[in-house]
Amino acid sequence: MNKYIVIAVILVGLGLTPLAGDTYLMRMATLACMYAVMAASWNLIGGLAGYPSFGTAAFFGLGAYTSGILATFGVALPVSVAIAGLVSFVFASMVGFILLRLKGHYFAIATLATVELLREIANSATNLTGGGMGLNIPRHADLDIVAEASVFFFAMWILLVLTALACLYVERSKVGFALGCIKQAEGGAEMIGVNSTFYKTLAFALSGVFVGMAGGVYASWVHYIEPGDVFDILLTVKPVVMALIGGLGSSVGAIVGAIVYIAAEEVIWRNYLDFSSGIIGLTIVGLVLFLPRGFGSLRLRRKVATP
Amino acid sequence: MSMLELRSLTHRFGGLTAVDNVTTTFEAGRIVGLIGPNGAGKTTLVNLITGVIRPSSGEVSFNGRTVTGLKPYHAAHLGMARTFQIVQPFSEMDVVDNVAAAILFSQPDHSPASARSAARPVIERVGLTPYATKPAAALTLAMRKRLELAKAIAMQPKIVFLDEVNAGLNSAEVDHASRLIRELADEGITIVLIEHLMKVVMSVCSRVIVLQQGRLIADGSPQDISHDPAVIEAYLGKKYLDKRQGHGDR
Repeated sequence: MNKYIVIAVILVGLGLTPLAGDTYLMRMATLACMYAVMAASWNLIGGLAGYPSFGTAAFFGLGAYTSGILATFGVALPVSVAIAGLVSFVFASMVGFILLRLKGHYFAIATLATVELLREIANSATNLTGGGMGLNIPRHADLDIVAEASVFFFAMWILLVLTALACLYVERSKVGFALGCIKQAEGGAEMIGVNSTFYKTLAFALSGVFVGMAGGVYASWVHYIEPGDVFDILLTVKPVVMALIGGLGSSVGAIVGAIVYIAAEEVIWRNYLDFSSGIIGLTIVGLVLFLPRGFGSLRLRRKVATP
Repeated sequence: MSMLELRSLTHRFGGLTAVDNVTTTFEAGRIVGLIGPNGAGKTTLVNLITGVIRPSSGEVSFNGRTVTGLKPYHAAHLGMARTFQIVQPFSEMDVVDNVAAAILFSQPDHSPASARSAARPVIERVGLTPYATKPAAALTLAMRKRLELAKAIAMQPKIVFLDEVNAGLNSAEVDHASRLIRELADEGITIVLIEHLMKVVMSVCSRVIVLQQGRLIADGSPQDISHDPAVIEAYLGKKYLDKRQGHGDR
C-alpha cells in the first residue's frame, strides 16, 4: 500500500509545478517526467524480467521520428503521439521476439545495435527524415511561451501517469509474476508452465510503447530533431542509471530515481560546469559499488541488521 | 492404456549418443524407477520427454497424442511436471510464491491471489508450512528439494518426473519423501523416479527400467532387475560379474 501513496504524492507534486509559473522549473519538470517514463519503462524489461535492454533510445528515436514526420503532414499532437506509441509497440514486439533468445551481455549488445541501426536508417532516409540535416517540426498553434511550456509539460505528465499506472498494474498482475519467475530461473519457469517467450516479448513491447510516445512528445516540444539527438546513447544509459538509483525491479523506485537524477544533474551542471560529467560519473560508480540495489535497499538492510 | 509412450527415442550431442533408440511405455498410477550409472542418459531422457531439448529422432506420445519436441511450458499445460536434479527455485520469492507460481501458470482461471491461497495446502502437505514466508534462497538443500516436490504436486500433473529428489537427504527425510511419493501414486499420478538410492527404488517402485550409455538394458520388477546380469555388469563391471559367476551365485 505504501508505494501507491508515494507514487500518488510524486505525481500530484509534479502536476502542481506549472502553478509556480516559472518556465525554467516547468522545463525541468517536463524533462523529469520524460525520463521517469523511460526509467519506469526500462524497469519492465531490465528490472522485472532481468533482461538488460540498451534499446531505450531506439524506441525514443523511432517515436520521435514517427510523430515528427506525421506532424509535418499536419497531424494533431495526441494522434501523432498515439501512432508513435503503436509503431514502437509493434517494432519492440518484432525485435523482442528475435532478440530475447539472447541473454545477458549478448542481449545488451544486440539491443544496442538496434539503436545504431535505426540511427543509420534515419541518417540515410533523407527524403523522409531529412537525414543529418534534421527534421523541423511545425508548431501547432500560436501560443505564448508559458502556455506552450504548460501544454508540453502536461503532455509528458499525462504520459507519466499512464506509464505509472501500467507499470504498477504489471507489477501486481500475472504478467509481473511471470517476469519475476523468468528473472530468477527461466528454465524452472518454463517447466511450471510459463510461456517465457510470450511474457518476455510482452514486457519488451510494453517497455517500448511509452518511450515511443515520450519521443513523440519530445519531437514536438523541441521543434527540431536529428538522428544524433534522438538516437543518443545517453537516452539509453540514463534510464538504466535512474532505475539503479531507485532500486532494480521497482517502478516507483525508477520514477524517484529519474527525478533525483535530473535534479542532481542540473545542480552539478550549474555549479561545476567543467567537471559535471566527471562528478556524475563518479556518483554512478559509487552507487553501483556501494548501493547496487539502489537507495531502496537502505531500508531493507536496516531491517536485516535488527532482528 | 499406456499414458506415455516413447518410440525409438534418440538424442545425439555431437558424436555422443546420449539416448539411443529407447522404446517403452508408462502406465497411469504406477511408480517407475529409472536407474543407471552416472552419464547413462537418465536426465537427458526426461529432458526429451518434457521438451527441454528436441530429440534427434523418435517420437513421444502422451495420452494418445504425439507431443514430440513440444515446448516445456506446453508439456506443463498437458500435465507433465518434473523436478530438477539441481534445484531451480525462484530464490528471491518466498515458499508461498514459489508454489503459487506453479499453480498460476499450470492451471487456467487463477489470479495471483487465488493461487497463493491454493498454495497453502500443498505447502502443508510437504511439511514446509513453518518456512512458508521464507525466501527459497534461505532454505536448506533438503527443504529446497521439498519445495521442488511441492511445485510439481501443485501443478496437479498426470505424470511427474522426480530427478533425484532424495540425493543429499538424511534417512528420515528420505522416508518422508518416499511416503509422499506413494501417496501421490495412490491418487493416480504416474511417477517416474530417477534415483541412485537403491533402498528407495526397491521399496517404492513397482517397475524399474535401466539405462546404460543411452540404451535401455533392462525392464522389470525391482527383484528381477537386481539379479539381471546386464544390470550388475553396468554398475559393477564385467570383472565382478565373471568372478561372481565363477564362484557361484551367492
